Formats: sequence, C-alpha cells, structure tokens
Amino acid sequence: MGQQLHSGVIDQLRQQMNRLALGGRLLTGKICSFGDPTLDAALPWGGLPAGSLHEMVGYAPAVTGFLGAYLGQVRPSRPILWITPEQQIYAPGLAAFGLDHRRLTIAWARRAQDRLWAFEEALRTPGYAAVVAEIDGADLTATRRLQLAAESGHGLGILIRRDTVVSAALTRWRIEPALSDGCNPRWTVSLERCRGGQPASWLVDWDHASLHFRLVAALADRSLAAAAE
Amino acid sequence: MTASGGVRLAAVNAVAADSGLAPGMTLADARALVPDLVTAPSDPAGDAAALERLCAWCGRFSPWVATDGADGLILDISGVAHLFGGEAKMLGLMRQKLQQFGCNARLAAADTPAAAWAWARYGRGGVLQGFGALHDLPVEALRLSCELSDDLKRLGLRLIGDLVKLPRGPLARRMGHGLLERLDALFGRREEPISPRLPPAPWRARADLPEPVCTREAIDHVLRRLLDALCQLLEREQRGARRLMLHAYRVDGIVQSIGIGTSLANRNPVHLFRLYRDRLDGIDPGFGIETMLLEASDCEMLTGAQTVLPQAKGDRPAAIAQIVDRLQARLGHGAVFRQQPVESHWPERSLRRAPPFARWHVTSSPASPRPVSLLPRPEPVEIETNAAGWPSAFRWHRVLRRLSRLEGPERLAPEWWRDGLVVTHRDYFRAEDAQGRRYWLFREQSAWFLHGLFA
Repeated sequence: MGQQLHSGVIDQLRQQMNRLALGGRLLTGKICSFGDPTLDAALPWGGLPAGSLHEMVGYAPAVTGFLGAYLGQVRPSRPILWITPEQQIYAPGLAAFGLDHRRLTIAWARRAQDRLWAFEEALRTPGYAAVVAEIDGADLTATRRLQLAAESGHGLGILIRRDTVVSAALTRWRIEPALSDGCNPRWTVSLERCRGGQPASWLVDWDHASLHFRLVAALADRSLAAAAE
Repeated sequence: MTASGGVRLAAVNAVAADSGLAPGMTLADARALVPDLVTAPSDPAGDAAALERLCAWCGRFSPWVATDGADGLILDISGVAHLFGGEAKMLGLMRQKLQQFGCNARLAAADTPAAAWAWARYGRGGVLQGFGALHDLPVEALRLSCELSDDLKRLGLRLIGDLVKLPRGPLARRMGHGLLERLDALFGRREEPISPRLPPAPWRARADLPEPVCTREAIDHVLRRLLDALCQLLEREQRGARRLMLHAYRVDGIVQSIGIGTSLANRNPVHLFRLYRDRLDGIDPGFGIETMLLEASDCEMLTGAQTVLPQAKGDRPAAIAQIVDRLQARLGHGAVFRQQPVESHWPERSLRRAPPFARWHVTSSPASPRPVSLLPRPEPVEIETNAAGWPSAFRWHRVLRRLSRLEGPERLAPEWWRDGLVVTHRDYFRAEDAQGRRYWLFREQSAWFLHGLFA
C-alpha cells in the first residue's frame, strides 16, 4: 500500500516536472530509450521523448557514431533525415552501429539558412524517427521554433552544433573520444544540460557484437559539467 | 551576303519588293534602283534563334509545333482549333498577336501540311477548304527542287492543275518518283508527319487570360486553377505526375518555362503548388502574361485518393514524399539522397548516391570496421616512424597526432579492370591517438594518407 502510494506520488512529480520543462505543456511523445538503464535513468523521461529538440556537441566523428548507435534503436521502421553541410557521412561506418543505410536520407545544404529551413520543415513532417541537423549559431528564438516544430511533427530533433549558447533544447550532450580497449569505440558521454534532470557523465563503450551501449564507468565530474553551464 | 559576285540581298521587305528589289540581287544593282536603300548584314543564326523563340511561343496554340525550313513554322491544329473558335478565328488571333510583336506572317490552314505550306506561300493564305484551289498554284508550290520546277516549266507544265491531269505512270518515269510523292503529300494521299519541337505531354491544362496578368498574386491564382484542373484530369486517369512544366506566355511573345519534379507520383494540387511557390520568383511577367500552360510531362500510375494534405497517422509515407520534394526543390535535385552500397571494396566506389526512395536488399557489409566519416578525397599526411619503422605520429591540419595504437594492414587492391594498372594497392591501418581519436590511414607505395575518421 505504502509502496503504491509512493509510486503514485513519484509519477505525479514526474508529470509536474515535464510540465515545468515545457513551460506548461505536457510531453506526450513516445519515449526513445538508449537501451541502457543507467543512461535512461539519468533522464526524467526515461529516454528522450519524441516531439522534442536535443543538442549534441563534441568531437564530430564521435557525435556521429554515438548518434548512429542511438538512432539505430529508435523506431526502426521509420526513416531518418540527416541534414549536413559536408559530404563526409559514410553509411558503411554507421551500419556497424546498427543504423541501416536504407533508413538514412542525407540532405546536403551548404548554406546555414537552408539547413535551418530544412530542419524546421522536416521536423514538422510526421513520419521521421528523427531529424538530425548540423547547424551552428541557432539562438534561443531559433531553437524555440525548432522545439515547436518537433512537437507538431512528433519526431525527435537532434541539433549537432559546435557552439554552446542558451537554447530551448531539452537536453545537451557532449560526446568526446576516450582511449579504447582496442576493439570497440569508447566515448566520454556527458549530459551537460537537462530540463528537470541533473548533469552526469559516463565512460561508454559501444559493443559492435551485441549492438548495445555498455557503461564502463560513471565519471564524477558533475561539478565540471555544472561549471560549463 | 557575300557569295560569288559580291554583296547580295538576302531578304527584302514589302516596300523594297514594290520598288523592284528581290533576294539574290547584288547590292550595287539594288542601290542603283533605290539610292536611299537601308540595309543590315544578314544574320542567319539570329534568324534561326528568333524562329525557335517564335516556335516556342506557338506552343500556346498547339502542342504539335515545329520549325519548317529557315522561315516557316508548322502547327498541327487538329482538335485544338475549336478552343479558339474555329480555324479562321484562330488564324485571326495569331495574325493579331504576331502583328503586335511587329511580325508580318503569311498564315494558312489546310488539310495537309504540304497544302498549308503551298497556300501560305503561293496562295491567298487563310483557311483552305478542300484542295480545288491548289490547282491554280504554280508548280513551285509543290516544294520541288529548282531544277525540277524549271524542267516542268520547260515542258509547259506551269500549274499544279497541269500535273494532276497527266497519267501517273509516265509522269513518274519522266520526272522521277519524288514529284509524285510531293503531289500525294499535297492532296493527303500520303501521310507527312510533323516532328514537333518537343514531344507534347498528354496531360495539360491551359488558361487564356482575358486580361494579361502582372502580379505575383494573379499568377499564383492562375497556377492554382491550372493545378486543380490538371490534378482532376490525372485523378480520372488514375495517374500521378513526376514532372510538371509550366509555360508562361508573355504579351511580347517571350515564353518562360519552369519545371518541377516529385520523388513519388503525386496529384495533390496543394503540394504541387507549394513546390512551385519558391520557383515562381523566376518568372518575369514583363508587360503581362496572357496565357499559362501546365503540362505533366512524366506521369506514373497512381490509384486511390490523394486530395488532402496528409495529417493522419496513416499518411506518413506521403508526408515524407512531400517533404523530400520540397527539400529537393530548394536544395537541388542531387542534394537529397541515400547511400546505396555498390559491389566494390574500393572505398571511393563502395557507395552510390541513390534517390531518396530507392530500395535495395542488404548485401554483406565489409568485415573490417569502416569509418563513420570519409574524407571527400584522401589527404596526404606527414608520418613520423618509430625504430621498427611503423608510424608513431602523423601531422594533419598542422597538428601532430601521437599514435598509441595501430592496427592493420588491410590490403585493398584497385579494380584493374576499371582503372587499368595505374593505381597501386593500398594498405589501410586503423590508428588511435593519445586522446582516443581514431583514424583510417593508408599507405600507397611510400606515401601516407588520411582517408577517414572513426567514431
């Protein structure tokens, strides 16, 4: 009985937090899990909620790999759009992270305003599991628009950027490479900012054989992450 | 014109012809007749280009339009004349429009292309009823070679009527089969095809505007109407458009055309309008557009209703097809693609840019790890080696990267049947630096290159 009451209270608090996180609106999207209990538990939603915007910064190939590994698990029946200014994405490399080539459509746009336009329009479109865009310099107003677009299209919006400014995104992740054990990629994954959650940092391996994240260690540099805010 | 015998006249206008001038006359003779003659150098290439433009403009009257010789146009108006209130009214409208551009034309309509040709050049022009009137035309109206018509005249056969009376057999023996073929073409006993400038699209919608339009709002409005009409037509035929072409005919005779493409067959007027919206800025209405013509030049079978914008969950694929079309319309057709594996282990050739809705079966992926980021072309790097001769560091983008791990080599041989024997094999290595950044390096002969970055 006490246990039940307890979980009821926690659910209520969660919903309240959700509402606060979105300025009064309740997040109703599907939760997209990382497939790793520790990563999921660090987020108030138990994964990233679809219909919202998230940011990733850090070493570009590491971000690409981490994102490929995550998106490979997100709604596998739906396609993914990746908006990029470069012509460097190499699908055979992403396939090793469990992301099927056939899901991935690449939109190549050199001009930043074209990428921003494409990102917003694609986020509004229902049907994508996720829309990824590499854009620098999106400010608070721009990211608010993107967040609203993601809410109307119910897809996951991932903004890869090199700058860190105030933003309306729900979370910001930093992915940096780490010395590996030789066969699997290893990253320092930091949740730098999270609406309604705490910053956290982990050492994470990607296991190519089982196609899963494997937590190596939780890093105790939350203070560092907090200082970066 | 500078043929033998000095400068000659290539063409004369009506006033000059009345003064006794004719093409082929030398300039000296012409000046003797008309001392204040105004001349300009002839420009055959410019004339041909102008005729091409006029040909495009004539597309508003009929889809089957072709240039005919250096100075003529021919239109197949079967089945379209009623749109203009009959053949006579159609010719009247054409004459009026052409005069507006300062273009004097001889116009004729007849039952065969050869008869129209003859009636425009040697007859009175206008609509020719039957073939009877052709008998009084000179034999040149048959479009014969100069030698042949001279021969005929020498025999006293001056009019087409004279030829028609003669028995065919002896005529063919004396003058050749070509003459009979021309006669048959004239009287419709032999099909003479028109090869149109562009093959006409079977699905089209046109709007002749009572008042020429200049504003963007008005153009948008007309385009919406055309799209509605065309999409209804496509719906009846159970088809969807892959390519659309919009032609805007300006009052000054300029034709502007804008094409759009869709990645999946579509007949949703709202979506097609959205694709056009960004492109219509390219249209310069000048003093006004008087006719707009929309053609679906490439169609595919498409069953089922497709009338509203997809909002419901079940319509996700349609929604994605539409956003892909819009991305392609703005970013360029080749800028939205998938990466399809190709049977080649050479990294630069292992992928092909496939259309965004391409499907394929998964083939075996390479057994060895591949980078997530492949440089557009391998970049040469400076290598430092250790005592054993293996690289211990390399310099790329001016930064020295010390390696803590090196795995390899994986030898990739070029496909000699593609490259000949010019390209030598490469030994690929996976390297990790002290920060954990992972690189894809290769050695070709003694030079080292960076080709990709691992996650």
